[in-house]
Amino acid sequence: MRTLVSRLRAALTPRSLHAQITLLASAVIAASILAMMAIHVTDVAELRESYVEILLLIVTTSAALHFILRHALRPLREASRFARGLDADPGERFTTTGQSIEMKELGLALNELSERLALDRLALDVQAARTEGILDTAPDAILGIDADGRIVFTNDAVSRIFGHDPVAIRGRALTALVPGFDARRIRETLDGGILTGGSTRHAATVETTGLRNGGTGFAIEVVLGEIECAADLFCTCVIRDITERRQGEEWTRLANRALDCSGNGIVISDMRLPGEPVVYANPHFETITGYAPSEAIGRNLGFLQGSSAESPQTLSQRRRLGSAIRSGRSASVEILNYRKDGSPFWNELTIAPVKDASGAITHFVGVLTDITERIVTEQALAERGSRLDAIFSLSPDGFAVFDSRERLAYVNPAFLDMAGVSPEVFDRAPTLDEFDAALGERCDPAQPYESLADAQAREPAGGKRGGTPIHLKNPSRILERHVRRTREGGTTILYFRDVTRETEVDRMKSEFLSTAAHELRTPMASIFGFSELLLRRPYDEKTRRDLHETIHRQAGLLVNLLNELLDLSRIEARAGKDFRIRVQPLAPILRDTVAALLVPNDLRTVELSLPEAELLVRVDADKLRQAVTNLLSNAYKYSPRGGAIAIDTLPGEHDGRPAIGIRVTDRGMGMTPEQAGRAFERFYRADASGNIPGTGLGLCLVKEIVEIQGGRVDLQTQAGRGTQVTLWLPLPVHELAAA
Amino acid sequence: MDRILIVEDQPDIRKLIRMTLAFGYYEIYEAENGLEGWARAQGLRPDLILLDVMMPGELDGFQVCEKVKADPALGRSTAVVMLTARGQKTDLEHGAKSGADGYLTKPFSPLELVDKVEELLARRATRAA
Repeated sequence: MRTLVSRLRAALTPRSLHAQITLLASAVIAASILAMMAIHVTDVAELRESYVEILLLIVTTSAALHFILRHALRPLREASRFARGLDADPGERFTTTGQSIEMKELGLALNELSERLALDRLALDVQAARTEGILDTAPDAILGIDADGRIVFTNDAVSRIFGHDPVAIRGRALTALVPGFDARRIRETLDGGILTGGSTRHAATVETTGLRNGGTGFAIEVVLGEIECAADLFCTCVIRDITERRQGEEWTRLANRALDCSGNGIVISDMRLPGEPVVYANPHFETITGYAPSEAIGRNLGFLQGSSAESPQTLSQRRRLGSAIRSGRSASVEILNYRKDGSPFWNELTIAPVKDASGAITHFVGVLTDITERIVTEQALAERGSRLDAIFSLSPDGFAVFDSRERLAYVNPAFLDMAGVSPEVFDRAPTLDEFDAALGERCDPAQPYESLADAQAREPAGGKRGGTPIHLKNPSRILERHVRRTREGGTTILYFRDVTRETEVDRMKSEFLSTAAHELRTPMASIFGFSELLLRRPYDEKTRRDLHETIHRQAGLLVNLLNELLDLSRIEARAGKDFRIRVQPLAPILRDTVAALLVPNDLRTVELSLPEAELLVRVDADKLRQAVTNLLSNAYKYSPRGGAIAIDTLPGEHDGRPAIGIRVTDRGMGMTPEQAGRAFERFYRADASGNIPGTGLGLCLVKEIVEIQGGRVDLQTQAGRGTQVTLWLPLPVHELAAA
Repeated sequence: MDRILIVEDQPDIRKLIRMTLAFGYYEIYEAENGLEGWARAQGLRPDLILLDVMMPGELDGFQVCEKVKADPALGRSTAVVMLTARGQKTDLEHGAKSGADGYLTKPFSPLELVDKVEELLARRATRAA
């Protein structure tokens, strides 16, 4: 029933306002008329007539009402038409002139709305343009994707990154650009992502491969963002070309690996932070310093200086570092640092600044090298060098060192001395050839100089055997030259040994040998010859006796010679250890000596003067006897024309202590000063002709014997006038007390 | 009789040579040093000189030998035997250079000396003939 009523009502309710008013008014009129009739009309017939009239009246009234209302309501219709058109033309104005009050108000309200709408629309347009502009200038490709995985929106970057027309690509699947990213994959990716901004929307970032127009792949990063509100958008998709970043990352990885593998310690200090702390240290830093990178990071690298930080050397190196850092220069210093365990090491620290685009220093990179070994080696080398220098300058042998360009680099004092040149001569650093030539000029022309080149030609190996003899004229010296060339560096070293004395000794030795042979052969000739004659030929008794005497005498001479030789070599070898030294009176020793002296074919006697008081000496009597015998024997031999030979004693001193002198004086041939200077040299004989028999050992023996007993020998002589030799013997201590 | 001159500073050696040659038919002369030896050689014109190498004085044996060999009157007719106590190779060479005809090293065997003297005199006789 109710449904029927509502349906009827709906059917009877006209759509337009004026129709409703008309219908309502008609109904009111009809009701009024019927009421009036009910009051005034009593007759039914009359009533029947009146119905028609009434019906007519109602119809005309309704028609009139309809017309009037329709006219009156037209502005309202226009207003609604205007309102409908506002969407298309916001900002249009509704004409209110000549309108009813109500319509005017409606019109004003509509205009206000229109104006606001226009402003909103403008603002929207601006925002849209701005958004579009932003999207188009974005370096990343920004895509809108619908739920089917289709591209619904693109920005300009799509063309740059993918090479596709940004508009033409719309409507195609995202897989065209990002292979594999279909709707399902997008959904899964998003679900695996994170929720953004406390909402339920997902966002996800993945790195994958993009497909450029033309089919080449490249590394991309895809950021997917879920959108809830937009009807045709399911998500946004921001795609970035990360090829460069990948390369950069790879570089960083390689660089890091390189840093890790480096045999140097590498640290980076941030110069923008207070205290300029270490922000990076590579693994080898720990190998060198013992500090793990984590222990170094955050500290200033100066912590390695430890206790040496204030040492003068470290201070100077720190100043160098400091000034390099302030001026933003690279620098390299060698500085003493300490490891974590406290052990010191030499650190070769090289620092280099890192600047940003504006040129401001942001970091310093430090490279540490443990050069302890090198420093130790260098110090050892320097020490070795100074030792060699000391050896060179102290060496009695001469050295001249030439560098690889064959220029004189060093010549030692011994060489200057032996060559008799002043150091200034070599100020100009002569070449090897000049040096060689100069040396050649100083040589004795009688002994031709063998130049270096000649020596080299003769012995290319450099001379393993003896050196080259060089006979200098002034000073008269004989040098032995050795040449060595170092294999590396090409240094040439000339080594000179002064063999003057050695050569002389050699010469004297060989002279001695032949002299000794001569001296030995002469008595042997007598012994051998006479004994052969005795064996072979018959002689009378007298002759035989004479020959036997001769043989015996010569044999005695032979024995003396041999004894002298043996004595000298024994004294030299034993250095007096077999001396039987004791305190005893001097007089008997001298008396015995003179008495025992047997000089063949000489009838001269020795004048012996002894003091009256008994003199005690501390000597080996046999050795003293031998020494005095030698002196007396010399006195005889070297005064062939006769002349008195005397022996006496005199007081004096030796070595600051009282001594007794035993003096032997002859009036013989004496010696020249030159001969006297060499009289005590072994094998030296004042008479080289061989006229006077002797070994050249007699005075040597005397000197050895006296010196071993704590004394000395004085020699005074004058050629043609004679010789005086004094043996000084220290007096025994208790002898002093007695005196 | 061949004339032999001994030039030797050691009296014992002179005596030895004298006694060694005493059994031969020689006229023996002696000199104590080189200078005296050279003087006597010039005067005596000996057939043979026994000459010691090492002698005192201004002339040693080699020098005397050289002088003798260089002398036109003596040179070829006088044989020279050097007596040396050294017996080294250099001495032998020196002797040969000086023109010595023979060489004896001390100590020498007297019989060897006799042989040497006789040999040289015989050679000289052959050459003269």
